[in-house]
Amino acid sequence: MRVVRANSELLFSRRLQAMQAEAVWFVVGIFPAHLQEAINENRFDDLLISLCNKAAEEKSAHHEPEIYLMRDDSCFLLFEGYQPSLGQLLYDEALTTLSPYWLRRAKSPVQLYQKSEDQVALVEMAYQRLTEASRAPAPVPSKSNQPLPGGDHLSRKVFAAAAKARSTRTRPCALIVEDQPFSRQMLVQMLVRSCDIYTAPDGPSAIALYESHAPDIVFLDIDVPVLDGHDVLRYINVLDPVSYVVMLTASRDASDVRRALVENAKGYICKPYAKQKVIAYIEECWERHLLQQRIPS
Amino acid sequence: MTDPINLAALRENIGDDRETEIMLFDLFLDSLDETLAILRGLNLAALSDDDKLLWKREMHKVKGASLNAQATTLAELALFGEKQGETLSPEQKQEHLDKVSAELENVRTFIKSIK
Repeated sequence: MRVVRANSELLFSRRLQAMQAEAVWFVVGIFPAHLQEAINENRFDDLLISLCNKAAEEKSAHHEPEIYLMRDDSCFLLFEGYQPSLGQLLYDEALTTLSPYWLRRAKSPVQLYQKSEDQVALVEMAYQRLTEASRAPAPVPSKSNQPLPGGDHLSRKVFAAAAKARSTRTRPCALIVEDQPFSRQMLVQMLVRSCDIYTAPDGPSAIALYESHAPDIVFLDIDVPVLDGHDVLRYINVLDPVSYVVMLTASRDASDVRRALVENAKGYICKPYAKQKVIAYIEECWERHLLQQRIPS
Repeated sequence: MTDPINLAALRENIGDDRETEIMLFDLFLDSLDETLAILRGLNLAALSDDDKLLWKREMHKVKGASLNAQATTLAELALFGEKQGETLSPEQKQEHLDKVSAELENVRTFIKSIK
């Protein structure tokens, strides 16, 4: 396989040099289709910047990555670091930026390697592993009735770390999952005074944000793209036994709502959203949260 | 004649901050313009199965946003398009799409008048 070093207009691609013995390399792999879509949607630069920022925060020795573009147009980014936690941060950041493309196929998009002199061999190894992983069954089947696994090992680990922070919160953290920009922003306006808020326009980014921020409550539209609300709900239920999910729907079809309630949604709101109802769910969820804090584990 | 948006009901939900209201209206119009552009781009005379799904999904989006914006007439038109889309002929679909577009223009004019 040939490996060609790519130029980045945004970053200086500089050689790794004088590395300390304990340093490791984190390799972030991106599939060709994902890379192309990311570039088309101007997401790739965002990804690079956010990854570099994370690496800098973690005091990575070289927080500007070496960028490798493979013959099939997949892309690999090499970061050098000393903290194992950097891998999780990079994974988290990449999922947040690229999640609609990553989540369903990339089982191990961030790989950890011992430092070696031969970067090309290392990238080839990472490429091989990622390609093999891509042939494996998708971890989150889209709109199917197959059981969802509740995240792979890494996503469960990321979630566990985020969930620990719940006990220190002084106000609720909400995740709004709604693909229609106006409706999403309207909910933000309703909640902005009472909550910290994350928003997602589709199922995969909702899952990525849930894993990385462990919100106290989720307002989840049933009709979101890529993975629908039912799929996301099932995934969250497996990942987090104390989840609090409220379904949103524009449909008057009772079967949709009934199904969500059977799947352990705590309630539902039909459009048009009423602020009173939205706030009532927040209050109920937060009371439950406070109660749980008082119960000794 | 009734206003195309029930402002009082909307303000109960979003408050009465003018800047927020204008920002939300802009978002509403921009996103529905995008949705209608997708619908207008369909070849209504020969819809594939994917296109039929797309028609339904985009009408559903118009419905959801319009309900939240308290634009009741627009929401009702979109509901009809979503539910009856399968049974409409290409000409009827086009006619219905024109009605949805015209109502969106009513909404736009109303929003301009209160800005």
